[in-house]
Amino acid sequence: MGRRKSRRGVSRRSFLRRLGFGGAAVGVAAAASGAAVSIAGQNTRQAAISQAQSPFQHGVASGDPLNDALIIWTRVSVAGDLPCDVSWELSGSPAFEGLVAQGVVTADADRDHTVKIDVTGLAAATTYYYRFRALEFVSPVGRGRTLPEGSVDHLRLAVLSCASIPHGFFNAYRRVAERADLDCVIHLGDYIYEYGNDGYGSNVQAGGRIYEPGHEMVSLSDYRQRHAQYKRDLDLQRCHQQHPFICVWDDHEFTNDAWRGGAENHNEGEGDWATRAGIALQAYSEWMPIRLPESGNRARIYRQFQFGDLLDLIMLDTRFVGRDQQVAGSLPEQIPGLGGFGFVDAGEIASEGRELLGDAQSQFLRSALTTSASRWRVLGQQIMFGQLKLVGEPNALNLANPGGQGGVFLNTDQWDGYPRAREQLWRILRGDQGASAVDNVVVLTGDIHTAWSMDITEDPNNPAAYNPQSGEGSMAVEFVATSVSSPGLDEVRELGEEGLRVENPHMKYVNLREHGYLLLDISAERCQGEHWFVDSIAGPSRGERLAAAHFTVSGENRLQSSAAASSPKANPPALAPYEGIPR
Amino acid sequence: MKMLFALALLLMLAACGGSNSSGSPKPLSEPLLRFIAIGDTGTGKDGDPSHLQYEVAAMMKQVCAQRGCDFAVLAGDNMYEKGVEGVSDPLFEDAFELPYGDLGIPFYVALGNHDNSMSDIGEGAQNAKGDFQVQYTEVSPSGRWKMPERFYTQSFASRAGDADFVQLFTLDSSPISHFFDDVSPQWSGEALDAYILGQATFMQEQLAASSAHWKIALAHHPYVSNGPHGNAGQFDEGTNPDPCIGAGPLRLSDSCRGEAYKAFLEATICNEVDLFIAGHDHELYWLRPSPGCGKTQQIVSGAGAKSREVFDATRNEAYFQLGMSWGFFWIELRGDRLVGAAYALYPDGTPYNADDAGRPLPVFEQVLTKQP
Repeated sequence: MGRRKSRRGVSRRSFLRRLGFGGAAVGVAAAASGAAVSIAGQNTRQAAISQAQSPFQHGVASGDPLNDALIIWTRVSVAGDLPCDVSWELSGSPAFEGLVAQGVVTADADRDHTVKIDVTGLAAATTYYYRFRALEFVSPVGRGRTLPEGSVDHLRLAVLSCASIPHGFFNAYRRVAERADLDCVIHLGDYIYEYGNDGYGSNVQAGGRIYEPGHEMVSLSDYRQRHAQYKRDLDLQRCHQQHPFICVWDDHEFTNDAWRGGAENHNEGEGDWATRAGIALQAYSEWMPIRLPESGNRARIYRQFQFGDLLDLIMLDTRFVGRDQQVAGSLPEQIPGLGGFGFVDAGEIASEGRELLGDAQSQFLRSALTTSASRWRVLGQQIMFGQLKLVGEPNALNLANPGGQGGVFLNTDQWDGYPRAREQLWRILRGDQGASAVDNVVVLTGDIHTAWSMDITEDPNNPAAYNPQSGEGSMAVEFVATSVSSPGLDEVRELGEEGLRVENPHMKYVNLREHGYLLLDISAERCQGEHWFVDSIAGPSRGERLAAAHFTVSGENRLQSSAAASSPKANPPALAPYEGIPR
Repeated sequence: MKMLFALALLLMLAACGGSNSSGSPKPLSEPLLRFIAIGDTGTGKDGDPSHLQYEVAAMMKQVCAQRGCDFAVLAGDNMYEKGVEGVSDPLFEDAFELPYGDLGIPFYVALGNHDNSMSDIGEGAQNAKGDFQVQYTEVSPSGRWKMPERFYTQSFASRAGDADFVQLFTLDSSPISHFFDDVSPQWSGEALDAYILGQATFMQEQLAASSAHWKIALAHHPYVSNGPHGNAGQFDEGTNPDPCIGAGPLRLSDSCRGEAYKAFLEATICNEVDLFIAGHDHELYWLRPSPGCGKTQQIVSGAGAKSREVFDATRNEAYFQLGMSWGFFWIELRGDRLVGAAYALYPDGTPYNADDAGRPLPVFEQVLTKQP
């Protein structure tokens, strides 16, 4: 029943006094904290009153498909350190009509209650659906597909990287989730970021997106909490639910500009680097649906996937396991526009011994490339492989280091900063040590929050070595996927992009401003890379558009522009049903 | 997303080990009430494609069909941009009857600054306009509009019949905090003081006398918010333009920062009610209890038609916050537990989270236990 107010005449002074203005607040406890609130603990689904009581708050994921195996992953949120039995089942049907495999595992605090099962004995080129049960709750249904074997005529892969939470919403992940015809998702790293709420992105915090924990991640608990926060993102959860991921890390899974012995953002008071790197590796291994190629060696993630006779996917670690420290830009501060960050291929950067991959990975890569019998070889790796020059000059004009690369380069953290290591790879592609040339190589790159498509050539500014119109002289192609949300260089605008293309004639497409993902469409005849951009990251949004498409015809090793998006596959397997987190 | 969960709490969602496989269902007699908390709805179909009142209303209908709704609370700014001119103002139909009339539940309504204004900026200088919204309670064609007075309380029995399961305390906040003073004799000077004190006294007495299991306060202006309007006592500080500032550094009204309103809340509903629901900022927030307001949970739900960006995401610690979207909270009170769920829209009017049939799903949900 409504009750009527009463009115009484009182002066303003007495009103303020009676309200306790200027004095102690009236009738209010001073303490208010999380301790004053408790989550209702419910043990069983029967007693649950909310989906928030399900232990499956971090969704499901699959990854590292083989032609007979698939990693499936989840995490259970349970109180304290108690172990918890988690059962799993896998079926060829989204309604689980007939199980292909099932089992029970125990999630425990040693692995932060994450669950990872390598389900083996599966059929090739088959879409499977999986789910978990714990505490009488059932997880969302996940979907994953094994790799094909034998003759393969069409593959479609989405390529993503660089998802800074405060810079924006992960709309790109949702758009990828909605594509039912993908074979898998390739994630090139910067899947998480290490910063606190006073760091990178603190000037944006789009839609109120801030980090948990609020400080830079340093301890194991911090790294686990940050991974957990990402796995609760609505859009990222949807993407993991529908597609197997093949992931490699970049620097921010550790901390900014990491290398094997340290990182730009590893500072005094943050302990020794080996400890921190070990923590990062542990959390990555726990929280990502990755299969370690060497059991027990969390530091090795370079590995290979064979998609029948069409594609060998070679995933590399250009970030951590073998990288020597970055060298600072060598140009003096006084040079307008270039000073302080530009550099030339001379001095320390040019030294023979500087490694990016390390010996073991270099051997792995040489072997993978030279023994591959598939139509295409795709390198999934972190940093831009082709040259990025502020001043484009032919190699012959490098008088400081004859035989080195010509011109002024921008970023020492990419392959440009390791020119001798890059030349080793060029030699493999051209054919050395008695081996023949390696054709049909497509390099995939993340890391720099911008979209690029380019030819790969040793001397892009030398018309005798490379013809930008015909592409003659190109030995491979590269697609750089833009970021999910991390910022590019909006202020550069189209004019700056055109300027970069003038200095870098091997670049066929440059966009420094937009966010989204790369779609890779592969057939025996050609491999096409498409830059798809979302309409906004400032809020939840549904729009996307194809910004550019380029393809390389088998045997040509150079890019041509395509007028149209590639065609989706007919009759793709059903998406996994989505019901939120079932109660 | 947004999904800024209080991780430490949410990690403790369930205790492991002791599962109850025999499954003893809860008795059906557990007291239960469900309602929608929404605010800043009153655009109607004004032709602005960024105003999604009808799309939010459509999502409310879907959520109520799925999860049940016994009533709704409307946190002010019910009639943009400057209130109504009388009980027959067509805005009542456009901004209330058409979007909500067929929901079949009563709406308990608070007044906002735009409901008491003479200009589009919602300066709050014409409180007499708010009285039309009180009078509309008697003539609403659907009968769903409930504003018996400018401030009032309302008791609710649970579905199982427990009397006094919930009591709602609806405040009239705009006379206490506004950008521009109302110079009419009834709403200035001693008369205004008397009105505010009368309201404070009424609320104190009603709260002291209340035997309700759950106490909930409703007002337009928040106690804490991470939006541009922000925390009471510092309303609109740092915004540009700052609606509190006129020529030079002079404030247009002594009340606009909300210092008196903050004191008013601390003297009335703070630590007395379990939950304070406000609007004013056009985002969705579920903020942790704030120093100065005791155990009271703080929900800001002002995204019922308009959306805006979060202003300072770390100003107050949030269980959940979401800007750049539109939506509301669905709340279930069940015995000693409170289930709160936030629902949000894409700019095209479809749910940000939905099942395969397009039915909305929450973008955030948590369960709290009532504090003594």
